[in-house]
Amino acid sequence: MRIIAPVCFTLLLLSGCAVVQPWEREILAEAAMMPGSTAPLEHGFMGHIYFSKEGARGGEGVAAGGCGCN
Amino acid sequence: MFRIILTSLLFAATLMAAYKDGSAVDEPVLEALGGKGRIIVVDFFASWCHSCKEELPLVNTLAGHLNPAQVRLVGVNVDNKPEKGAEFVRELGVKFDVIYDPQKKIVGKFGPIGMPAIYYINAEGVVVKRRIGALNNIDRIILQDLAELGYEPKWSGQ
Repeated sequence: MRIIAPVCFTLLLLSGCAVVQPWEREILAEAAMMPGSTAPLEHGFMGHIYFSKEGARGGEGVAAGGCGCN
Repeated sequence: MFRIILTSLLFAATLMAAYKDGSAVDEPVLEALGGKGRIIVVDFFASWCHSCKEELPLVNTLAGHLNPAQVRLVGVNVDNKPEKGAEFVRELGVKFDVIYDPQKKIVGKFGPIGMPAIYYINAEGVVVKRRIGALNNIDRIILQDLAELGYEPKWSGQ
């Protein structure tokens, strides 16, 4: 009985999963889907601080969003 | 867990159903693309695909140099809104035929793993080659591929 509730909760979360095909990425490719796209200056500033503290940079994503291009 | 299995199965089914080299194209899809009797080059693109914006002008120039009796070059726009696709086509000055596929009926059959995607269908209606993703000098690549399929181009690209 104790296990049913977490299992149901997990299943509830999983119900949001969907496979997005490469030709269905129109919304994902919008500029607004990019991290920091709504405030590029602030994003750049935060990135600068973050990378200074980490002593490394990279791994922050790539330009353009999810069109599935090479 | 059941959900994961179901999703995986659905995804696998989609991939399995997608056309590969050697797959015969379904009759209605083939008719929509121009029918049998000549090589068909199908170019899947969308206005939201940045690489398509680079690639389409080259394909467009190439289209003007192909012999329509032997090769048909047809574009398939997969934008959710056809008017958005039409505006994109107008902006780039695309001259070859473009089919708008907002319901994803055609692209769903082909199932490319990325955009843009180019499929070659021979005169018998069989997929013979695929080019997925953005490629440099795509016009020359298409000409080479067509030459492999027996088409003798009279133009060698830009």
